[in-house]
Amino acid sequence: MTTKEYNNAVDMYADNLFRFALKHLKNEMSAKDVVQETFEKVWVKHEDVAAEKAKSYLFTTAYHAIVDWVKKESRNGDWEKVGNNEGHDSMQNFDIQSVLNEGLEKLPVIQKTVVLLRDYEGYNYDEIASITDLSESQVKVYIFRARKTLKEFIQRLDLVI
Amino acid sequence: MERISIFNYEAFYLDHLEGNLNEEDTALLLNFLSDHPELALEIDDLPTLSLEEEESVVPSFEHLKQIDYDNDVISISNLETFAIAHSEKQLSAKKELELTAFISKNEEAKELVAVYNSVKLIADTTVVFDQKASLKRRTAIPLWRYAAIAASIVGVVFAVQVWNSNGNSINSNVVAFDFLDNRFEDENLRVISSGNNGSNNHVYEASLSEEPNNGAISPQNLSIQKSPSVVRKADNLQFAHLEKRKPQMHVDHQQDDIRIVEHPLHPVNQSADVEPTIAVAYNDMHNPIKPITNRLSEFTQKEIDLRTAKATEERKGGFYLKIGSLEIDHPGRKVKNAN
Repeated sequence: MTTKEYNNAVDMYADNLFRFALKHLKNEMSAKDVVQETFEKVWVKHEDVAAEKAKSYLFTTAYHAIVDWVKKESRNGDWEKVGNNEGHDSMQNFDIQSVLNEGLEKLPVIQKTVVLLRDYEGYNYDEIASITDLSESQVKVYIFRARKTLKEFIQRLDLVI
Repeated sequence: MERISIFNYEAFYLDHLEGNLNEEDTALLLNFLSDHPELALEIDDLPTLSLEEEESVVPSFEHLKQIDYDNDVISISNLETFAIAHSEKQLSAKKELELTAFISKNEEAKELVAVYNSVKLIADTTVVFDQKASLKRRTAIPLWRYAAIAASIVGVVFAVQVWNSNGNSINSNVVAFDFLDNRFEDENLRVISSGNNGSNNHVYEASLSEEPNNGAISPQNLSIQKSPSVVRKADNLQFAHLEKRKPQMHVDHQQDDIRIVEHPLHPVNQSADVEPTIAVAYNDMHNPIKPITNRLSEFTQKEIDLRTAKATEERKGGFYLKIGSLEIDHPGRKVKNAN
């Protein structure tokens, strides 16, 4: 990946990575740190990374950075606290997307990750498996479980007509 | 002494509950209880010791079973899995048809499929990373070559300035002009003459810095310079082999007819072993560092131009460098064996 291609990757994927990190960390500053750290790591390796693989490489790096961040925050006991920082009131956000986002927060981290990669980025199971170091069948199972949980979440709130 | 009394009846009763009393003792216990009805209540309050099998709390592991999406028949029991697979676009065309047929007969199934179709997260594109500029890297451009050329030009400019300030005299070709004998073409640009020493063409311009009084031309209002632009025009396709030497002018203003003479201090020798050259048309050359030469021109207030010619089958590449009044050119050397 040339410098130009790297800078193009910044333009194309920085927003996506930021949203991906923000959904996990629920803290804007931490999400920005993850994006910064991700691109720093990719820049170090940019000569070895093919331009067409840049997005996958970026998301893999970001995912690992998020996992590390979550582990660190869990050790510090701040994870639960941070998890409540968004302050949304689901009763006031009565559209399906808002409620799905509320439901997303109830999912285990790995289910949240795979469903975000699937829905936000449109990755197929194979690509998600590569990013998350899971098998393709594990990804499929996690996505199915996540869909089931989200469906029950929105049905519980009687949001689906 | 009675075998069962108020002091030991509990032990008998427990044995009775556990089924360990024989018929004789059971009869004695029942007789005792009938004689002491106040104890019967207390006995009723004793907990039942027999354990009833509790309702099974073992979770269902049905979900661990693998579904064969191609061969399993869609039913109410596996509908949810097929509905998710449908929303994930994992079903074959055949199964899609089967699912469509199935939900057309079952309103609840249809609703379930619709619910799963709506369980899709959509990214909020208004959330953006606002510090992209901090992530970008500058492209490294190998400027050393251009910097070296620019430095060379600056060095030459500096040398020329020092040289000029020392008032060096310059050799020239043997070209003499008789001012009055030559032509005047217009008021401001007067072509005096052209000289030809066999290999070089020169045209000199005389221009008036101010209008002459009564048409009289004097050294004070006359300046003379070699004009490369006219040379180009005159030669049309060729650069003259421009002298790297400045003509030394002598103006004899004591006479009515002003004579301008270039003195040959050292004749230029054209040695026989000089490699043959092929002149290149000015317009066929280009300036590879135009922004740099433009900037240097502005900085030094001198015209600076550098042009290079690409090599061809007939000749090697040449160049032309102009710094103020100094001009250096190198025609492309003829390629050996070229016609």
